[in-house]
Amino acid sequence: MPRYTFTLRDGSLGIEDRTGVDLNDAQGAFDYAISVAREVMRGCEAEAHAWRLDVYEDDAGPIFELPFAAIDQSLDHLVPELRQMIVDFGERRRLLMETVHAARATVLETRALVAQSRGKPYLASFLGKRTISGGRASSS
Amino acid sequence: MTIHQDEPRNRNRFLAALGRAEYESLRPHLAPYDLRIGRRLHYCGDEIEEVIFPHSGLVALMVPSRDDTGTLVLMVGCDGVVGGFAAAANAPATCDAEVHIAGEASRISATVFRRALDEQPGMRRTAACFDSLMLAQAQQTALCNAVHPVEARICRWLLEVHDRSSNSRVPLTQSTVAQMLGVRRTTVTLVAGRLELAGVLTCRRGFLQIQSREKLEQYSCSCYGQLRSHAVRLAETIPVEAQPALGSTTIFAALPGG
Repeated sequence: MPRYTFTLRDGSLGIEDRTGVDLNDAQGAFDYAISVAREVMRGCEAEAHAWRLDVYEDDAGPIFELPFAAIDQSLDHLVPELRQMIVDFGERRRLLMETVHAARATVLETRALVAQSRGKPYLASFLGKRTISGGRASSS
Repeated sequence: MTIHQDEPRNRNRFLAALGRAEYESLRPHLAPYDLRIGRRLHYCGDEIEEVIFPHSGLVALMVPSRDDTGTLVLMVGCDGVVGGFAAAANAPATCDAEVHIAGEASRISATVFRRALDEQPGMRRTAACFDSLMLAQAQQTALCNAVHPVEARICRWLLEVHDRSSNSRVPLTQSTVAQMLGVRRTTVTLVAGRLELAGVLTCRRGFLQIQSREKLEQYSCSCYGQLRSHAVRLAETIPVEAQPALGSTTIFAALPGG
């Protein structure tokens, strides 16, 4: 039975479920992902329209990308064109948020690298992630 | 009067809310009870044989459903009684009771408990207060499950658990939290991941660590505050002579942060 793992793209660097679930096939994974996406967005649909759930099979993929706006049942009454507009807008908003997020990480990393090169103290990690990506763990 | 830490009266809020004579009438019948994780205290439809007064740990009351494990309606810790409602009415249990966090408790036979309630109107009133609070919790949960996002619900339950244990390390797995909320485990992992990025909590193998109680309250839905204010109002209705032996501590306001 293949193992399916998930990544929530919510405008940050992404949140992973690395444990995943064992399901029969891709169809099962698709149904499971739709249920998860609906549970995650329930009660906060407007904010979640920009989010997407990516599904991986045995760590390969993504085999599906589920934009939340495309499966939000509270939008089912809209004409397809209008709905597509919301999906596209959500996608662009998420990309913008991801860009801002990445830019912020770059600023932190640059500051840390400058401080490190001058032998000054620097922020080694932020919210559980290393500020300086790749490379050596410390300058010693 | 010396206060013994091991005395059940000082460790469970129902027993603490009883008048002295009322408590003394129950005391010879109280026996220690081990709340082992995963232990079922009773199943839905069972006749209640024992009433449990938890001292620590957490018992989840869940309504079973046909296709899965069911959803949490109430949680009971040192602030309440398991099975008291049904025992008082001599009625079958209306939900499953399962230990989610290990701890200690006192137990008493349901027959003895029922007789004590019949003979002592004061104790029956106190029991009614606790029943009313349980009902309030169930009503609030019904609203919460229907309208609030998973993120706010996780925060609300963590606050409730934190109040009952005052330990920021919450020994609940993500699967248990998922079962409590009636959602898939993946949903809890993803939403908890968002809360982790927001600095509310950190997820570790087998437990959740609360990083900031203040942020937890900020991310929680209004249900937590509603229930708290209800509990405080109810505590005021308990007669003064029945206030607990624990110095100035009142039964519900004894919750941390109260």
